[in-house]
Amino acid sequence: MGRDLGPGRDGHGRSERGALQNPRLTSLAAVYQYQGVGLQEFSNRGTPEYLIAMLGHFRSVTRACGAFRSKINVAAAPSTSLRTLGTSSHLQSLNAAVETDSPERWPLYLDAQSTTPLDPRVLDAMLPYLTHQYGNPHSRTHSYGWESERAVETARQQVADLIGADKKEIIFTSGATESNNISVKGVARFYKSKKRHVITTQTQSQDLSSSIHFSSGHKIYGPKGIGCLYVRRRPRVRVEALMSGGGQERGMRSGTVPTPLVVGLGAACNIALQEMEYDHAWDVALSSGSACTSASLEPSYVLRAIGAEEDLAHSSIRFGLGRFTTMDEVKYTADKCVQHVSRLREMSPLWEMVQEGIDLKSIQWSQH
Amino acid sequence: MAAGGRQEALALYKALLRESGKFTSYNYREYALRRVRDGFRKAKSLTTEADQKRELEMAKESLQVIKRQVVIGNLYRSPALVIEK
Repeated sequence: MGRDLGPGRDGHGRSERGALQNPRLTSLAAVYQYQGVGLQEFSNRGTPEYLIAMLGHFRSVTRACGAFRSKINVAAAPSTSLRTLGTSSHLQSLNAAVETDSPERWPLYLDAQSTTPLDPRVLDAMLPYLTHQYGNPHSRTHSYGWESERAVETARQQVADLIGADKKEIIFTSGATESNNISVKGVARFYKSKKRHVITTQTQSQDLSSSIHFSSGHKIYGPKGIGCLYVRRRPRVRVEALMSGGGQERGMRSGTVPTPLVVGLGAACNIALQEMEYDHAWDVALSSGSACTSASLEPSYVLRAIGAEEDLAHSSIRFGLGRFTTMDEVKYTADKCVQHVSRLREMSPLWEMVQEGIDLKSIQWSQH
Repeated sequence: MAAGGRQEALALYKALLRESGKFTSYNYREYALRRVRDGFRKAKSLTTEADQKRELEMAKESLQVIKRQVVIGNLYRSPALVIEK
């Protein structure tokens, strides 16, 4: 089984370098890991992503990525460069000769990191407020308003319960982007007379900004267009509102609170709290393909191997798994990846070179 | 568990599986079936009367939710996925 894979790698193709450098590739690595025996070929430099990256100049690379992605009939995230070149439907026509699945069929969804479907329980909770309970929660003079306000406050408590906060510390916004803006700009504006610099960190630390937002509604199987912001009360964090208006949401975010969306967010948070353990166990099961692979596989081996090369990051596809993803979908996707990578390799002169043991990094590409 | 309770739980289990199978969406259908099975399997080990009653009530509510959402799924259908027969 051991091929000479070049310096810095042992007989199993393991890189000297340590832990996974690109956690975004975890899901993809997990998909490849499922394949079991096929891992050996993916551990050396001729990995599919690397291969695609070496196929030619920028446009060809991204075209190949798109063609590859559209052929496996899976909705997945392209690398950033591909996103600017348009949709894959354009690329599909370029590869009409390649055998595809029946075009009337809808692709599998493996893009949970960009958005998630509504959980049926969330839609069920929202529907009354989209039909007969249409009152404005700020109307204080009739039952439509009182019912609507009651629903908003119930949802607020559900959100607070998920993050272990007090409900008075939860502000509803239109999503994570607005929450971010309020927490950075709102705090900066409030303190602008005294402090002139804003320092933000990648981690959600509790020192300077002190107000934490968490994921938007639509990432936790809730509706799009709603999010929330946690603004700590003790010690108090002061925020200047970005939107002026009727002073709703404790003056921090004016505008009529959208009851159906808020109810959806609350239901999603409530479900998340109950299902967290079960969902996590399912994610682990999907990622490790535990029903299908032998116990001898080491996930870190694959992750190290794929994470070792920087150029991989620019020509990779990320698959996201979620509550509604099935084992069969993961298997199907993995099979298709293997099928199409093999096909691409068949037509690649670079792959031939890799198989002859040529170090691709040693190639002097001539200037045109 | 009292004999009547066990029978009720079994009837509820079958009803839940039957209704879950009616989802037109592949992903909702598979999730509901899996979740119901795992939920009942886990609840088997519950000992206190109160716990069992609570789980049974939750199961009854879930049945109503599933019935309604199946109807909506039928009204707003999506085409079949590549993975479906």
